[in-house]
Amino acid sequence: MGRSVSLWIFLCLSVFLKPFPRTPTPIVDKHGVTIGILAGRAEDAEWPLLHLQACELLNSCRTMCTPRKGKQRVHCRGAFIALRCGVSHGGGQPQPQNLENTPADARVLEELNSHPFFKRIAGFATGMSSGA
Amino acid sequence: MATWAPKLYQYYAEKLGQLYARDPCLTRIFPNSIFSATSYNLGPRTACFKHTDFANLPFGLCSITALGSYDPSKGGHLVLWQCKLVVEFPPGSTILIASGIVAHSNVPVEANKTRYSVAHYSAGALFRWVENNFSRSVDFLANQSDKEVLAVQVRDSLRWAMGLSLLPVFKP
Repeated sequence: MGRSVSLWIFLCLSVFLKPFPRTPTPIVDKHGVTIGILAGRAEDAEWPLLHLQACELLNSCRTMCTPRKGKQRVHCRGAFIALRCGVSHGGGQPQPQNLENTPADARVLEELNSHPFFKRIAGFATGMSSGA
Repeated sequence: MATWAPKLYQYYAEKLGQLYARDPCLTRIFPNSIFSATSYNLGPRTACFKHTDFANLPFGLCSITALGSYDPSKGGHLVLWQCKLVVEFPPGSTILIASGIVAHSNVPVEANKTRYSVAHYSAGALFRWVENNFSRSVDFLANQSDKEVLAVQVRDSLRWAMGLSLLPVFKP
């Protein structure tokens, strides 16, 4: 009897503790062509915790990177610090190159890129599976 | 992207794969990612102005992930201007959009809240570089015969149709 009650409580709790079901939804134009996908998030029990850690990391990064002055503070995208990394081409680059950063920004980026949340995001966006 | 736009994914994998194979100096930040560049927006209340990412592949998709602590019904919405859509964007979730052709922006979050975002994307010029046999368009075309230049012009004129064919179509 005790066992069945605790099992019942467990089942009830598991319904609430389960990540809210998220159905990926495409955005299509009038011809039905997909121009966007609302992907939601991975069904991953660690997601909320990793998200919280990633937020704290992003918040601390703001003071760790090279300070922005004047026009760098408000750029064409908005009024926030944006850190870029990876491979790019265009904007005067004669060939595809790794994006360059100041030593301080590079250190911050290394920390961000090695965090499991951002690794999983990269995989999730690529496959839209758990991405681990 | 692989699940929802497999043909587009294949195109990215093929072209960018050739790029990385050709130049080992180019680093892949995330080996599990199909995107070549990443941008972290540090907020603390990240809200993008209305913009279109013209440097991205026009028929490509980029990925945006929102983070932070905010009520998605009161702020942080993604606005897709041409679509006349305002989409709730809960923290921790990801949206893929054709950022190269659809103007987009964010609604600010409430005053005491935080919002960060991470974007993954691939510059359109990377694909052009590979298709131009790993050279700039001017150098590539200078080394082609008249007949070959004509073939390139035909290819380019069909490029938009080719790009659209990579995107999945959902008919109601």
